[in-house]
Amino acid sequence: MYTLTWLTFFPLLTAGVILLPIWPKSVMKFLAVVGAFITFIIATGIARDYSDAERSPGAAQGPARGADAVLKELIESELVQLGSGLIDQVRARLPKSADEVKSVSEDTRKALLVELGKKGFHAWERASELVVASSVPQASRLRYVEFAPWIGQFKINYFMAVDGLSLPLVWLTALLGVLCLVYSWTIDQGTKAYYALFLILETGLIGVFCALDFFLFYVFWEIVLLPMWFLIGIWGGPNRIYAAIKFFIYTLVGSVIMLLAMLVFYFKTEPHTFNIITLMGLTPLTYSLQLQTMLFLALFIGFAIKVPVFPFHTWLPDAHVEAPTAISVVLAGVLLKMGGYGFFRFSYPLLPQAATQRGMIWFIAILALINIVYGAFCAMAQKDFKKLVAYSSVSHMGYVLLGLASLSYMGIDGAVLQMFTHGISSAMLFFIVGVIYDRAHHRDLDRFGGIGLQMPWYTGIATVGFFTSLGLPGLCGFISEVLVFLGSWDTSMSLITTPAGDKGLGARWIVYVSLLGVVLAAVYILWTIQRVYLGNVKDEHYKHFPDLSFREVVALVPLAFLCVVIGLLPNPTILNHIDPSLRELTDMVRKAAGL
Amino acid sequence: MTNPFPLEEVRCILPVLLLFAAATAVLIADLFLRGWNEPASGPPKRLLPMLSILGAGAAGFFLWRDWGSAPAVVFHGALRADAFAHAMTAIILLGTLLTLVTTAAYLRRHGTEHGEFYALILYAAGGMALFAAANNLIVLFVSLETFSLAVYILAGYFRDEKRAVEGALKYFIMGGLASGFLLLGLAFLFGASGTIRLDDLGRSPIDQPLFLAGLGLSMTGFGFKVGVFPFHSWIPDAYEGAPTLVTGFMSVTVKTAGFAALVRFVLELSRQAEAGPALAQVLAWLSAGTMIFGNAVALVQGSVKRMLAYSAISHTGYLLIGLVAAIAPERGGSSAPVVFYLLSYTLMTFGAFAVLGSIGQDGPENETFEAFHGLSQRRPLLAFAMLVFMISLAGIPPTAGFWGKLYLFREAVYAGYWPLALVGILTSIVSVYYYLRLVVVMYMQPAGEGASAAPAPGWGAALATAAAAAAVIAIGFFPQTLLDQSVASIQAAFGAR
Repeated sequence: MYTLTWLTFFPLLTAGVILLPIWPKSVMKFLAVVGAFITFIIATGIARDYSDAERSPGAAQGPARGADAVLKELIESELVQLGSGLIDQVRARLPKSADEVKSVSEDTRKALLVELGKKGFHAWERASELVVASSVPQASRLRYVEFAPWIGQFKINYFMAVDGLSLPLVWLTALLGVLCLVYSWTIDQGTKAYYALFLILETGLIGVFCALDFFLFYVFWEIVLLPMWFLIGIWGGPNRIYAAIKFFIYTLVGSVIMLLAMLVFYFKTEPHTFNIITLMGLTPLTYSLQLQTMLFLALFIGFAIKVPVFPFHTWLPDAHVEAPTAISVVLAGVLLKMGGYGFFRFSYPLLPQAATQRGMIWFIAILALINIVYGAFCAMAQKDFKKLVAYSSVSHMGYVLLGLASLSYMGIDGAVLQMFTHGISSAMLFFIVGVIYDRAHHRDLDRFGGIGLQMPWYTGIATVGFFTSLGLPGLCGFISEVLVFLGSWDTSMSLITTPAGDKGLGARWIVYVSLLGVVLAAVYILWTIQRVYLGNVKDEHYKHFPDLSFREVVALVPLAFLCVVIGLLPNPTILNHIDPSLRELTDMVRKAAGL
Repeated sequence: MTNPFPLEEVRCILPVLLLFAAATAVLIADLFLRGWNEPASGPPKRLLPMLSILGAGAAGFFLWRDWGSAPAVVFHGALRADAFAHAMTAIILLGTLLTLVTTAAYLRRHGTEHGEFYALILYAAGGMALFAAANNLIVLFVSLETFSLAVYILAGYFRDEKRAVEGALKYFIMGGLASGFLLLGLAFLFGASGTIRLDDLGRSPIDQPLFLAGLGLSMTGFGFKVGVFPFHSWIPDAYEGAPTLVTGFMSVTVKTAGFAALVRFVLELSRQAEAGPALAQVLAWLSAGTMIFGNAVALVQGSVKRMLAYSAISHTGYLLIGLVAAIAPERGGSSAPVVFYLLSYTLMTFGAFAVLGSIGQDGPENETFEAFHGLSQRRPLLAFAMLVFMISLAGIPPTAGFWGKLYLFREAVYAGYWPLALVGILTSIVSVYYYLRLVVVMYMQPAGEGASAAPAPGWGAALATAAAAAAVIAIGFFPQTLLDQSVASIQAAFGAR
């Protein structure tokens, strides 16, 4: 079936098709959108199957089976292959006659022993790696498993699967892919390259969320970097080169530090492996706390730059301001989540003891606090509409860190949901900025006013987006923020608030002060609505602004719909499906950390 | 009395003989075609590149036929025909073929299409192939001189240009000096051990001080040839002065040949218990110095050609890691990555020079970064190929250069030289800056005053560039076969190293 491979590489395939020089421009755009839409359909199919399998795990068949079962089968096939390989090899070396048997020298015998033994040992190494992987509890939740050796020399495997942690992000990527391509219909310079780069970017993003081999993950991570760099640097605003290079250097430095940590994992584990499920089973037991802490910090820098966590966030406003609308949408909607996802998938499960030591909880909780409050203050101070939204992203990603630091069921659920809902709300906000920028050709908040009168539909939908971002009950942003706060407050579980004696910090004030972020969000968002949509029309031009075009409706309405549906029915739509995986993950980390 | 010229062993040097024969044939044909020189692009003139491509192709065919045959020492120990020599010859032939396919249009554009150009390229390639297989100090030296002389002339091929003459002269003088060092070193080694056979040098009883002196002198000679810091000073000038495609040819094939001999030399000589660890230590320092120097200086170059020259120096540093890994006392590493890296290096570096040679007439004005401004609008495919080469040179996945570096660094860690790997990784980050600077100007800056004309590249150049770019990406996604081949070549030739 290779469903996940199709899902990941379908955008790339589409990119290849549209690059053929035979299409007129509009056909090419149409094909790109169709390609992205098919990707979205595949993602939706996987998500539906996944939730069915989650409901009745025992009965799951085919690609929806858990990774533990698939890996066990792989061990068997490895052994069968070894058997037939050995038989062939022995047969090829079999002497033809009795005389030949006598003439076999001692050296040849020894060489043969080494050669045949090596093969068996290699198979044993591979199989034992899979044994470890299949016994990690997390493995039972991973579905749509695909496992094949990619580069044997380095023991890198093509290991892909999805679980409750990655699936929402994969689905979100596929959704935003369609919406952004539709929205980008008006790009008329270098259209083909733009669409192709965007599709390559989508492949990279889906790959990042599906890869379960550390190295494969790294390769996808880098595949994301280059198209993004081009998309900002070529189609961006006036200061685009500066922004693109800043984005590139920040991310590259982060990814190289991540690579170094990855190589340490590889060399320190026997047998060497990049398979993170195997690493999850092996490393917490074998690494010293000091090494764990160093590795954690190295990974932290790599991921924190992407999130972005203060003080690594300065590339974000620049990149957002310069990037074209659709690219800002993907940047805020999905790219930032690569960092958050990295914490959940790699940092915490691989290095549980380092992650839960007191100093580290302090460190992350304080950074979360700074992100939330400082980001909100920065947002409040902006005159540029897009920069305001960019800083609000910094603030909102702080909630993800806060939920993570608490390491409680609710906190983790909230943090992952926050990544998803922020993906929807920030995408909406950037579309909203794009819509007004296309008409006014500026983004100065002080020069807007009275747009609500001219563009009622636009204003209505925009309000949904703003209120989601603000965390109004009934919309999806509220659910995730409430979960994060309840989870990090929860004195029985949250590492932030449980009394200091029980390995927690006992620092309730962190949660109190973080709550300030919600208030500040209300301030800057309500103020923005007032300045842009309410009041008198400040400029005669604004009276001629048409309301939403079809393309803009297509981009905005599905997102607004999701805001409401998830806001009203969070459990059946998403929480029920992601909770088991996240609970498993949290349990594993807590257990390994001795909590 | 043994047969002085065993005919059945000729098979093993058939590729070399074919290259020399093709070179001679080109010279003779050129003699008869002289009368038809005008117009310069007439059909008879086309015969010469065709003939030389045919010769190199035939050499490749016979190489392929011998691929995987059992290692043999032939001609009374003068040459070794083993998997390593085959692999290196293959890479040299690849560089040669790319050069031959690319140059015709380039030379015509510069009005200097003479038959001896092709002949010299083929003579150089033959000498290099011999150099890669040499198992005897005399053959080693003679083949070195054979290809060096040809390359000196090629470097000064644009004899009316001041910088070409200056560069070539500098190259010649420094090269002569290096040959002197090498020759003296080889003489010392002979004196110390009483044998001229490389595979015996590591095993015979030796006179310790003389041996070490010989080792040091000959390493200096090799260091000049492959451009190790601090013996690199001729490279920027010679590379800048030579016709761009000759620079491409030099930078890939001379380096490949140099490393072929160096690997053999170092692996054999380090069998002497006293030499191994010390040699590893010295090479590690040289490697680190070369990586740091090459990358640091490349950062500040205003000319793309000089930038590529310094980048070539830095890649020598990366390649040295493979040698260190193979002879380090821990014996955990292998020099197999050198083979893989040289292949990727050949594709990406020659590709970069081919693009540089295609964007305009040679001359300082077409080698600046400004000349590349807005190239993506004028020649999108050419710019894309350059992008691929730059990403690969910088070591960003998924490209051949990335796996090459990763493989080298991994072997360094296996051999216990992790600081060397760290230096490699850090200098690679530095290199990203200057490689991507070129991408920035190609894609994100509009064409300005100094932008090059970027004429349509000839079909040969287009073909070679496209093939190299495609190979870089294909190897980036599926490196497995080539990695296996490089391990096999080292194992078959030297045992487990």
